[in-house]
Amino acid sequence: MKRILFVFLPPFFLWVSSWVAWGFTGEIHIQPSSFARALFVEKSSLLTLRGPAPEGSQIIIKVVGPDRDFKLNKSGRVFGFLWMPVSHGVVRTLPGMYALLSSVKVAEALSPEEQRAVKLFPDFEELLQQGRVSFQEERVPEEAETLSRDFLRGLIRILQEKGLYQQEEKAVQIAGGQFQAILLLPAEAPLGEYRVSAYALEGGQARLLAIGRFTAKTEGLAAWLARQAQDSPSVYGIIAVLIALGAGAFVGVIFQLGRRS
Amino acid sequence: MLNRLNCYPGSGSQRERKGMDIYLPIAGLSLNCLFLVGLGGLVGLLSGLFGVGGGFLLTPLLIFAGSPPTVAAASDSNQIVAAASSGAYAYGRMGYVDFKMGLTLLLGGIVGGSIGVHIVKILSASGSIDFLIQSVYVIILGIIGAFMFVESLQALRRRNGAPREAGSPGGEESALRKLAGRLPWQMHFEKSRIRTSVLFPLFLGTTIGILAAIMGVGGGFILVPAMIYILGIPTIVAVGTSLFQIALTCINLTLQQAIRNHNVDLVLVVLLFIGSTVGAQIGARLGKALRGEQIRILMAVIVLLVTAKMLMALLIAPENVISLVTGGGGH
Repeated sequence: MKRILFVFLPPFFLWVSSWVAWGFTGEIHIQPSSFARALFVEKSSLLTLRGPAPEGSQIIIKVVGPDRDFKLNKSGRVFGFLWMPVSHGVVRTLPGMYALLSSVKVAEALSPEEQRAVKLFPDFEELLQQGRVSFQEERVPEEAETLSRDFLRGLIRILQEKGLYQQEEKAVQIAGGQFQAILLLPAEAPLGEYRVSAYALEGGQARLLAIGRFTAKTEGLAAWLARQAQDSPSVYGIIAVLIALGAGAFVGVIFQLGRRS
Repeated sequence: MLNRLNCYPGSGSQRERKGMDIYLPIAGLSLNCLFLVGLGGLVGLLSGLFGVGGGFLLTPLLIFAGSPPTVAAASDSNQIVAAASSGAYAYGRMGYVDFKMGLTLLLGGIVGGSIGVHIVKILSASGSIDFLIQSVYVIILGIIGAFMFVESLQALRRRNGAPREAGSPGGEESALRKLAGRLPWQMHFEKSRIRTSVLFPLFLGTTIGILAAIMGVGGGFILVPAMIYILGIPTIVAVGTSLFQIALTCINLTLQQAIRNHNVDLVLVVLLFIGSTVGAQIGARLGKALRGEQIRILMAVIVLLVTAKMLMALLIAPENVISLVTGGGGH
């Protein structure tokens, strides 16, 4: 019995201590937790993601926004000189915003097997695998697969340019047992709930350290207008017309009075 | 082991307001206030000067600034109500709006618009509506722009001494006008100084309504040249009447867009028409100071520039062959 304990206890304690070290090293903060868009805000806002970094580990943070559909066209040359849409598709099951922030190069820190295991891929590979494209036209499977890849790559490029898809290596700073990263949230980022996952990397392996959520919503007049446009469209439309007519008449009268005086 | 991430409401690093950015709640993006007011001012100036809604310029510019095309188009129609009513008011006070002609064109425009909306629906099913709209833009704008440019240039060259009434582009009657003279239901349009069959402006309004719906525009840039060259209405009356008709058309469009598509952004609209109403008034006064040929040649140059830009988009290979579908619609 003693021999058994002698053999198995040290590895058990090692496992427990590492488990404690990985899991209970402190708290991770998202500031602010609820990102509210009022009328007067910056084009993009900053969120701070902070948490404990186990000693000797590197950190990867993944931020995934709410899903949305994207209608896309693929252009091709027709008649030798005209560029026009030659294929149409709808991309589904992709997030409206995605960010992969890390303290190291993901491709170097994780083997392809490990990347697949924890779904942490460089170059938005996760999204290429996750995205589903449906085409208006009938396609043979091979052609559909190639075209899907083109659509997804093109879409990712568009969203990268808008700042909605981000991949920042060395964007996570580690100091004094803590990590910190700044997430740039563009105003175009979809409203809804965002999932944040923090991973710790050690010895070529990644472990999920923590998960969190924050929400993007509107507030004040911006929220009221958005609600009215959806809930009372007739009233909203009439108000819009009356405001426009009032503004037109007001300026007309002002100019008329100005001319008289 | 997972820890729940702890969140601290209100204590974050969300940036405080800097500069003049404003969040557009329906468009879902943030843009610079001064940029939007300036954009409205520029389009209002053109609106007042040429009697066009300005949508053929404003919608592409808003899309370029990042606005979703549907929101840009819908909000554009609302701001045009302000600019066009302001301009129409100014022209009305000066006696340059032919209400009878405007209402007749509007009636035709409503019929044509309904036909056009059905055509758009059919074309949308093909998935190439954006390309078709762009092609129609290039063809129609190219023809109108080139015709106006050549005609106005000739008129400017012909001009010698005797002050001509602000507008009438030519002396001789067009074949279409002669034909209209033989049609039934002849009516006198006092302000326009023409007598023609009511069927003629109705037909013109319907044709423009169809084109306007396909192209997603109010139709001023088609209507003004058509009134000048086909109906023979003096330029300044054509501009005033066009503004009156556009204001009514865009009221209808705003209501339709708000009720059906929920994509009129009032914040965007207010900023645009702060600039556009003032711009329209200045444009209306500037229009009165300029001769008909000068107004037409300026408009021709702008129309040709827009055409050239759109043509380039069709001919030059895009950086990214994949594009987000924008849908049609402007004014």
